[in-house]
Amino acid sequence: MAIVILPNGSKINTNLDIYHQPRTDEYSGSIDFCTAVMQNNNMASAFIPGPNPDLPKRDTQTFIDTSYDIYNYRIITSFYYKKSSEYAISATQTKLTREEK
Amino acid sequence: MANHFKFSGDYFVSTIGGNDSNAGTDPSAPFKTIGAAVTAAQAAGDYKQIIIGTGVYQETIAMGSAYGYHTFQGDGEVYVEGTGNTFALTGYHLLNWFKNINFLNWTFQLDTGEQQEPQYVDCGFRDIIQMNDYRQRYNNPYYANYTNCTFEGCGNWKTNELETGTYNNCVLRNSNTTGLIADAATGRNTANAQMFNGCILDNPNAFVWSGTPDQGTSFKGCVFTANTRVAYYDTNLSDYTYNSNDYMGGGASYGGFLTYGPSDVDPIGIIDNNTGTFNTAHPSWSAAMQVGITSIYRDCYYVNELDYNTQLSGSGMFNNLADGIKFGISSSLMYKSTNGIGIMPLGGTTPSIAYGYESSSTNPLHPMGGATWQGITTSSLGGFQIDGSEHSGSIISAVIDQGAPKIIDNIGIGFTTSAPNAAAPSTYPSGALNNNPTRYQYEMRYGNASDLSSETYRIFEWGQEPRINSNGTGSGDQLYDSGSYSNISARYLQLKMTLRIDMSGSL
Repeated sequence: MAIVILPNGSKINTNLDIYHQPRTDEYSGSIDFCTAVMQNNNMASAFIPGPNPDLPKRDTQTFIDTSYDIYNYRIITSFYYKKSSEYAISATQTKLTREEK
Repeated sequence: MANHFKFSGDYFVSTIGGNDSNAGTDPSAPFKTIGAAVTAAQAAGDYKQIIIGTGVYQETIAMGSAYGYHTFQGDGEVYVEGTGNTFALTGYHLLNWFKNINFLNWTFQLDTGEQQEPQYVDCGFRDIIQMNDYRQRYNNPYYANYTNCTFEGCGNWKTNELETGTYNNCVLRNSNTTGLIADAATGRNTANAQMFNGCILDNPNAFVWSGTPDQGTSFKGCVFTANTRVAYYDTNLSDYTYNSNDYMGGGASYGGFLTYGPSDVDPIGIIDNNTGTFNTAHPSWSAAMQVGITSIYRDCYYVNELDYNTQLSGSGMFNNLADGIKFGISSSLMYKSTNGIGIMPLGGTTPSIAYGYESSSTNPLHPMGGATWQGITTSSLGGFQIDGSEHSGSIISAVIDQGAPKIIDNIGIGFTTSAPNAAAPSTYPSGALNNNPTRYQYEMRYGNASDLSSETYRIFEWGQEPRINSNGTGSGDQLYDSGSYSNISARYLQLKMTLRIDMSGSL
């Protein structure tokens, strides 16, 4: 799946970060939809062990919107680290996936 | 172990002397990475104070999809540097504060959703290709406010809707604040309600701002250097063309630009389409007046050129140093002091004095001028470098006569290394005499008599205001207590600076 139509009528390329969608009107509403998903649902955080046992590293942050009939919409922010032994971050990525109920 | 963080906070970071296995809450045992501090802060709650010590942090500051409203306070000379990464900041940075932090060598400053912009105070931005990720929909740095910040070599914001950025007492050198593009695909091309107050706008023959003149954009008390340009896009301008060629560089349809110059008698006008001629008779001029573009300028003026440093040694080497210490500067910048009263309203920048490596009897940093070098040579790249056979080197300057007693605001240094956090200019390496956080130190003795031989060298910190406390300890010394201090006022100065290739304490 790459290009999907969101409930608000806009397109989103699910292969791309939600903040890096094409700069055309047909995609411009995708950030509104994604923002609403993140604002209206609770965030679930997942962690992985870090070099400091008292400080697990952030791995993902997930929001799921189950309020639609056919699909659920999941937004996941993933954290990437420069080294597995460090907390220094090299990048983050936030993507949307659409899942059948 | 003692600490000399100057700020109190919830979490402490020192990339040179810290360790991510620490709890980070005790300033005597700081984290090593900002990432560890953000992880801990986000787990602990909102409104945390993260104190970051001197050093080069090659990491992205990632908030993720959760607010924090944290403050990131630089304590010393802090560089967030982009080697290996793309974005300096990602995620929810709304109302995070960044204070006294330098951002250097990034592709993008910010990658986030709309309305997630932080506040910046006393920050530096250098060699950042774009201040926002243009791939966002609107790229709106809503509420992105910059106070006492310096922009050097920063690329355009390249946005198509830019809202409510405020620049107070900022210096923008060879930087373009917006880089508005006319986007035929979306039809959006506004840059609204940006305010520039008391700023230096210095980008000769290029733009510092471009946008539409509506919704409150204003320039108040700003200084424009010659041929620094401001471009307006408005359909009411007679030769307005909706063409991406209108963006910097121009094309056949280039037009509608305003600029300050060529003199303050005639401070604003139109640069003609193809000739570049300053021309208030240009057909766009009357249209520009009609759309109110001149109403947004208040108490601005124009200068031919800004000299950021006044050189005593006359080498012509120092015009690219705006303020403070500059990691990554590969030129010969070695010493700068600022003093006196600023030329108002020059963005908080004051005239300064700089010396380099040139062989001259007037250069107090060179043996020809009376300096003593140990393990130092001049670099083929410009500047000083440690002699290849040595692990450290030092320069004892000649006595510098300022002509009259002056309060010393800041003594800075520029340096570059391929081993950040290992090599640095510092009196002591990281250890018992320089830790928590490790600082970039120098030594100085001073007085109002030219013979300083009976004076004691005291330790101060590069790039920071030198102070001395009641027992005579300098503000870069491990033992400095900031509870009671006075500024340094003297006519004669003598500096002792040490370059190290290993800050870990082995030398």
